[in-house]
Amino acid sequence: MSETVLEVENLTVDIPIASGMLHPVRGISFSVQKGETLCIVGESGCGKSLTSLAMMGLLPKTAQRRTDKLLFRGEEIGDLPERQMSKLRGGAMSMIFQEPMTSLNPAYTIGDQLMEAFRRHVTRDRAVARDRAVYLLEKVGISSAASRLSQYPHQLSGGLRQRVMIAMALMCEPELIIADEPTTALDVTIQAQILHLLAELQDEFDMGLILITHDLGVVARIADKVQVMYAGRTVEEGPVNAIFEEPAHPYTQGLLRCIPVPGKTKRGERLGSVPGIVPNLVGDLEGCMFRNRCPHATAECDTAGEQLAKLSSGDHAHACIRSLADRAAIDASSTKAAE
Amino acid sequence: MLAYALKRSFAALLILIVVSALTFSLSHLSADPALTIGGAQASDEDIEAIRKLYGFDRPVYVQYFEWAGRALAGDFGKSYHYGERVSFMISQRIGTTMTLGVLALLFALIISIPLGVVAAIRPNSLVDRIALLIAVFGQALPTFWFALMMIIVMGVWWRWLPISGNDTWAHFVMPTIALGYYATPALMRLTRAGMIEVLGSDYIRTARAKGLSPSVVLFKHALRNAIIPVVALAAVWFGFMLGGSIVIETIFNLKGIGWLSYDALLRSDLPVVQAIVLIFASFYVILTLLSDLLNAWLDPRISVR
Amino acid sequence: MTDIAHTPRSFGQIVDEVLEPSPMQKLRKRMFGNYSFLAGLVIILLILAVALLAPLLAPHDPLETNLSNRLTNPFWHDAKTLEEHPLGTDKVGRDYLSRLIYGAQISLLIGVSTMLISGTIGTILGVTAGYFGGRVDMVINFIINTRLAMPVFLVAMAAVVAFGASLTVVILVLGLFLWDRFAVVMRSITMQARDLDYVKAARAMGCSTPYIIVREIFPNVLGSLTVVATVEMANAILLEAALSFLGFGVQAPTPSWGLMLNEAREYMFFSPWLLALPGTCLFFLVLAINLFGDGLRDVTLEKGR
Repeated sequence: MSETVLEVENLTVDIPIASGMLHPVRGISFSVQKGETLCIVGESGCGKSLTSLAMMGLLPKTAQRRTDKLLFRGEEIGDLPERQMSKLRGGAMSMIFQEPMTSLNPAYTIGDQLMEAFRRHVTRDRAVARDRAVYLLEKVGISSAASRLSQYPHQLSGGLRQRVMIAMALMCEPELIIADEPTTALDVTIQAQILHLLAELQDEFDMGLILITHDLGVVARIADKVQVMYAGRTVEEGPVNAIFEEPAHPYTQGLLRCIPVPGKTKRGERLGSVPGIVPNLVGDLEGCMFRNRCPHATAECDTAGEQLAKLSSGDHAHACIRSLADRAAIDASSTKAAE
Repeated sequence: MLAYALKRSFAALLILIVVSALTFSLSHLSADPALTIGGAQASDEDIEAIRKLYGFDRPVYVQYFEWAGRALAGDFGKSYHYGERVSFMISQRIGTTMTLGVLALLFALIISIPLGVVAAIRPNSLVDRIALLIAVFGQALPTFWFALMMIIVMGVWWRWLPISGNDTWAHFVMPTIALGYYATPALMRLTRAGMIEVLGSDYIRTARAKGLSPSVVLFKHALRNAIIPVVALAAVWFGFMLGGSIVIETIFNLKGIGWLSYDALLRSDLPVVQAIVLIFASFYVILTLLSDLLNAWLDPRISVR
Repeated sequence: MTDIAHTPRSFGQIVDEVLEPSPMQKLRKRMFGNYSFLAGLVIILLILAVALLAPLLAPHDPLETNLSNRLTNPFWHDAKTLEEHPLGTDKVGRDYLSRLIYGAQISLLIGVSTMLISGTIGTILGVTAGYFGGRVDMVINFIINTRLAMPVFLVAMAAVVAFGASLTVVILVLGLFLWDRFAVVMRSITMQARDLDYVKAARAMGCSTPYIIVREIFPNVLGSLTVVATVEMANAILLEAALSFLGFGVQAPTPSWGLMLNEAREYMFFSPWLLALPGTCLFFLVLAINLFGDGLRDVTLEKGR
């Protein structure tokens, strides 16, 4: 049995806004083992970025975080004071952001920014930090690494900057990396390289990796486990194969219909889509949040809970009150009624 | 970058030519300098002779080109009243004005940057309110009146500071405060706005995600970037302060070129006035040019436009 | 199917709302803005009323001298004066309160008329530059930069010397100089407004240029125009006071606050209130105009969202 790096139970984030209390994350749970990749998937605004910031303790000041459990290496970190939390950040757990173009400080050299966290968390020794920086820049595939140290961010392309960001996240040998849409802002060819690199490094250093993305293609390539989020809740979770082969929740099914599959999708055939928009998450919420976009919704869904229910195959669970067979039966009867 | 610099320098030069031509024609069209030189007792023949001697009988544009040509070589002619070389009179006094300007700017920066930073870290806090109050009140306080009240309170009632002259450093304290506080509101507001913007940027999030201490995030990562536009604005304000020095130097009897221009205007001493206008304008133009070039150098996208 | 969404709102909007200040902060800010707006408005209306009703309010003719009753003390030094001259008399025995009351007329007159002249020039230049762009913009930009390079105060003093000191000359000189901010702001706002979809649509429909500028562009710039107008009005009032203080503005015996400060200067050590009172009046008038302008900016911004 491998070691659990991070375990989150019942994480909620609440933010007071002008029109009431916003609930962008409403009780989600997951865990990551060493060497495992968890992908959190969902469309923009489903709360996945806030989830990642919440784990790092980087939420905006107005946001309130609550957890039943937030265990890092088996220790509760949910109630750590900021001073101790900042020792973990950038040290044992680090983060890669979406925007490589703006995530590096334009006023300082790459080398300075790379060594900064190392010199705070590991050793003040400049020479050691420098060696480590050069080693990692080479590791992430940057040529003539030593001379890059004195360059400024604006002298590098987006792909190179994201490699620098990855190297920066690796500086202090973290046990967990949280990557928030690390490839979204990059060209498609660069995306593949960066993903490949991430997977390779994760393997080599035996880290836990949480990858936040809206791109199911990325998920298929890199994930071990998948967590599908909708409107601040987990609607389906399970091993990557189960999710792709037997998607159980109507939302996951809808998402998967949006991807063309060579050989399966017929030429000229319409791709699927999930019609409708994300519901407003302000105030008291009741019932299944997906019901206004769900093709199978009935009156029961107005009051239904959103608990995850296990499916036959082990770890695979979904949050719809009805099983696949039920839904098929209901759909059939409603079609009959319409006729 | 070089093309941009050349283009901007050319525009700056053109501006100086237009400014000098405007002041030259303004002063020459409105008043007869021969009357000033001749004085009240001069007869009509004397005036006519003076006109010939100084070349005032020629068209204004001829006089301008002659004056401008010599001004380029640093020769601004002779004072009508004192008979001394204008360049000499200015060179003797410009140091005082520069000292005052630099001190006033430093004073403004020392007050406005810390206040702006603290106000940005805690918007709507007590410090933010106080800073806002200082800004609002500061902008409404007439500089010269503030200077006079300081003289009454600090110079006369408390007898802390000398109120007139420029013999010692103590003589510069009140003029510095009087001239410097006026720039404080603008610089502070810009610091605050810049810090708020930078603190919300992605690279500050990166810095926090690296687990750096709050002071490193604030001073190393945020302030450095927020301060660049403030420095640029400060350069422009230095130009304004030279203009403001006229009132301040007059009140404190601080004999710099601001005082000199006041004295020259009282005596309609045109060569001195023209020279000082040109010097003030040059300072403004050069400082603006430098701050533009500095910005272009820091942000390569500007010079491409 | 029941609709969960109370209002169909995209998440992006909600996120925007989150990143903005919290509701309390926003509310407080708006209240503070409105308070300052109200306070400014009340003081301005008060001073305006005093200026308009000056003949009724003033106990004496502000120009009536009485050499046997010079430099009498105000009521807090000498209770006997309360009835006759509550704020004492100046160096030629004129009633100080009456002069202060009439001084409001001068300051407001200068502020408003200067603002009207400079506002007209600046708006025409700015809107033209912003709307037509290209060469036109380049030329107007050059004019603006030239104006900015001129040391206003010094050139204004020189102009007053050249054309003779009077109220009209001061208004004209300041009006012809203080249009720069109008032009800069109007130019950039017009540029933004020009690219609005409905303005593009109007152009595509073949509306005439004057029609588009008046009907489509002008309503967009009106808010900022008012804000700049308040800033420049305050600026003009301060500059007139400084010019008059140095003797290069309104001439005696006109009751201008700046001129009163000039006359009071020689008595500053023994009768400091002669300095304190006109300065305080100036300060409150300018403060009120600034508060009003700041409040106005908040209000118009709120509406713009």
